[in-house]
Amino acid sequence: MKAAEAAATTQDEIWATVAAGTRSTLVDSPPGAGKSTLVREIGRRAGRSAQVPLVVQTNDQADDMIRGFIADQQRGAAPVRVGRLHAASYVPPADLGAEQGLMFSKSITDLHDSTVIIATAAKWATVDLDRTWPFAIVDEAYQMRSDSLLPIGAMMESLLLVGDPGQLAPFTTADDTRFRGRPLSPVETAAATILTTQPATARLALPISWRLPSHAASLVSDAFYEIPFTAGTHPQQRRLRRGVTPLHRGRAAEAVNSATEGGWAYLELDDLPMPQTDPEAVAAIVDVVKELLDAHITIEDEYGTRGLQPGDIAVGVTHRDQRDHVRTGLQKTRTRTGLPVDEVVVDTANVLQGREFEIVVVWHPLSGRRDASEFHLDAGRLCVLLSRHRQACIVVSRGGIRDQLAGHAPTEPVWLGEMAPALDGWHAHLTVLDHLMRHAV
Amino acid sequence: MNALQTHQALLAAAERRAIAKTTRRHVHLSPRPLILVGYHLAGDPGAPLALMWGTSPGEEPHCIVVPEPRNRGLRFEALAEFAAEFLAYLSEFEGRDEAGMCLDAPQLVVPNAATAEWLCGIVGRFTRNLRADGDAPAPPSVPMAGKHLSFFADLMPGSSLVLAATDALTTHWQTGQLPSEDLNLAALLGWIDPPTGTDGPQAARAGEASPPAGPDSDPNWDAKTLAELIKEWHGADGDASEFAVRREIEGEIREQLAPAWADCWRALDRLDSLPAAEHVISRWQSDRRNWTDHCDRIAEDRAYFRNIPTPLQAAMRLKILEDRTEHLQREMAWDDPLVMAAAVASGEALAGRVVAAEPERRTRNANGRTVRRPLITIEPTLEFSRPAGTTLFLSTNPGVMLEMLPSDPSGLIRAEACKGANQNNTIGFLPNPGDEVVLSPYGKPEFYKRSKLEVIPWTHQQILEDESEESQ
Repeated sequence: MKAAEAAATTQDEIWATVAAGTRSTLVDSPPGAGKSTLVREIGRRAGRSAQVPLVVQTNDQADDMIRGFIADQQRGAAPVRVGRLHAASYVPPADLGAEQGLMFSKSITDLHDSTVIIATAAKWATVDLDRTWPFAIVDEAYQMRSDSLLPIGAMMESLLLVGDPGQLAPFTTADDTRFRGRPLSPVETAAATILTTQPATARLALPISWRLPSHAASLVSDAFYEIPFTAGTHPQQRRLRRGVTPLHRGRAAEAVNSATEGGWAYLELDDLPMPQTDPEAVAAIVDVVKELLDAHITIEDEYGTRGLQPGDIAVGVTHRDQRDHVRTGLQKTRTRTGLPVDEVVVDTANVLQGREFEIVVVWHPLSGRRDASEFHLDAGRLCVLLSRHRQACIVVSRGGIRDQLAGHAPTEPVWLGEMAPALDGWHAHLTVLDHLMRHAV
Repeated sequence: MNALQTHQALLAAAERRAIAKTTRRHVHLSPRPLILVGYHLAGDPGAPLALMWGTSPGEEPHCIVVPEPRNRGLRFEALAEFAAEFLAYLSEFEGRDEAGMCLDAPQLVVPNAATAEWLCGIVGRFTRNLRADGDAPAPPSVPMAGKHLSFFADLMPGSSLVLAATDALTTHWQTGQLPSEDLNLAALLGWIDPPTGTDGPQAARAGEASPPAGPDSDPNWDAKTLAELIKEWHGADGDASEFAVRREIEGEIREQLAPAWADCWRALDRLDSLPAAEHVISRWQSDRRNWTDHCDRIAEDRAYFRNIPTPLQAAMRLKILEDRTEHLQREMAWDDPLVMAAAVASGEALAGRVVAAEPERRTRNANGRTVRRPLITIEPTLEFSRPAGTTLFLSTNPGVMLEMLPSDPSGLIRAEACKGANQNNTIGFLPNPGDEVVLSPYGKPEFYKRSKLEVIPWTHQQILEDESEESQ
């Protein structure tokens, strides 16, 4: 298979760069291009000569990384001793812990034996600076803030940074006026900092998305990426099959049909300005999730055929209160119907970054708003939400998005010395909307 | 804007008066503040036109004017006069306690944030590094005053070292006009404190008609009065006639700045009518500490201010800024039921009455161990729709962390204490049946030990072009 060969070649090229002792290497990766696979593979190879710290951004990403190492091992990869460095308040998930070669600790001194040490950037910032490592890998370098890279730089002599340039940029809860436009601002991305301070950084890119199905890869690539990419699978390799034809047809059922047939569905509610936690949008999303689980969907892909589980579905939202309302709605539905709808992952775009699901239900960031603020218009946010799925994506929104975009006047100041974003959120939103309208139910 | 604030804004518009957003005062008020108002030449923030200051509402405020603001000699002459008095005011706060901390800190009060930004930011920046020797020596008081002004320029959220009257008032009151209209101190005070016989909007319109509070002057006054007087100044021959013109300019400027001066005192009066919130004193303590540190740096001649911070400084500053922002938010909510009410109205916090408590309840945790998890059942005042698993904290004792359990059809909320009230010595913190409680998202701040970097690591060392040329 051509795509797989191309990917293997890129991987070898990256390893050759790293093995040659390059101080900083940056790998740009579109969604699901095997970034995590690459991190684990380079981690294993580099781990033969020295312990390799792996820097991730969230605990979920760290746990997913461990699961990846375990899965690799089951597929025959060389076993590695994985150390997981964590905060005192962290509780390992139930499915991890009893595995062989896995070591959890809140202190780095317990993990001297591990081949790789996985910890969040925040945890690495608490490690004593009295020792250094020759080489470390930073995952999600476009999601990591420049100030988090400071302690990493102090401990690691060379770095491989991987990340997805189309994702949400890091942010701060404080008023960052004083830092905007300044060289090496602490709120810029770790990737941007490395490119500024290390002009000799080796830059490579992964060319193929293994996650996104072919009908999504072209849209996401067109709307959000400067360097185009393609899907690694053929259209006929991925398929969803409904097991049950619904008796009562409704819009949620139609949305699920459209998603199983064409991989996309757009469920538009009446055009109304609504509060952030729009109850009708919550109800529509809950209905769609319920319908997905009711339909007894079978997933077919390059690995085989299996039934859709609640954990294969995610709901992506913009704000934490939206997340809470959707979760509450799902919990109530579970109480009422007994369907395990509350096992579906519901989270904000920021938290879903770097994660992967079979089907994703998206609450459109501009839904029900009067204005298209920069925060909601952020191309990265929409990109994250539309690029988490392997099979299908269902978008729920209030109508009137096009008018909102047309009537939008940017109110954010332009900062001298700050690079303009490579992508125009306004344009990306219109491209996506044009696409979604073709899948409206 | 949260739901309660939206309600308050609509209510203010309907009732034509400002609505209280707080029941406490969340800023510190000094017994001896320095009120400062001023103008710069239109379009040139580097050219002060006049400054007016004083420490008592009863006294005639001091005033300096620069009769020709473009004349640098006159500019620094006037600034020297201000600097001398400014330093004299600051010297009142040099006294220290046994621990070496200043007994009190100064407080500057300005009409609006724009004045603070101009005076402490811009004037501070162009005076702090002036040389007191060389061809055109500045009086040493001017760069010294500039260093002090620069200290006041970059303050943290929750600091009361500089109070911008409009900001302090809008923290405590909600008007029925646009936030941008609240930037006019006279109009804002009109809503909050309308003279007898008028209402908020009427008083606000009257306020808008009065001379601006600075730092920009009224363009009509500029054209009609100031331009003429500056022309007269240039035409004056001899000290006596220059002095006469100067007196005339000062008179006109006093007339322009007097309303803002009086309004600053009115703003302080309004704020003083509220009882101080509990955490105000600890935030002022931290202001005193900052002032003490600044005095030490001045005394040791180390008061440097960088325009562009190093990556380490910027990272540390951002960290403190984030912490302070968060602390201020939660302290205000803890201290003030009306601020907390906003969190309840938006659904983040839960208010209600405890109807049952099981202090002895035990459950099995994820590791299979039996743990004490006291349970309280709450009848909520407003519908509470956060999911099971949400963690909230007791507002009266934020060390107590509770986790929401799955809801039942009765509408009652069940929450188990997972921290702070599940041991014999802490079980007393668990609310009792009949208690009115608020569970909020504001927990005790957590502190993590972070390793302290001393040297900028290779990832943040920027090699500038001219440096690399030098090294060749």
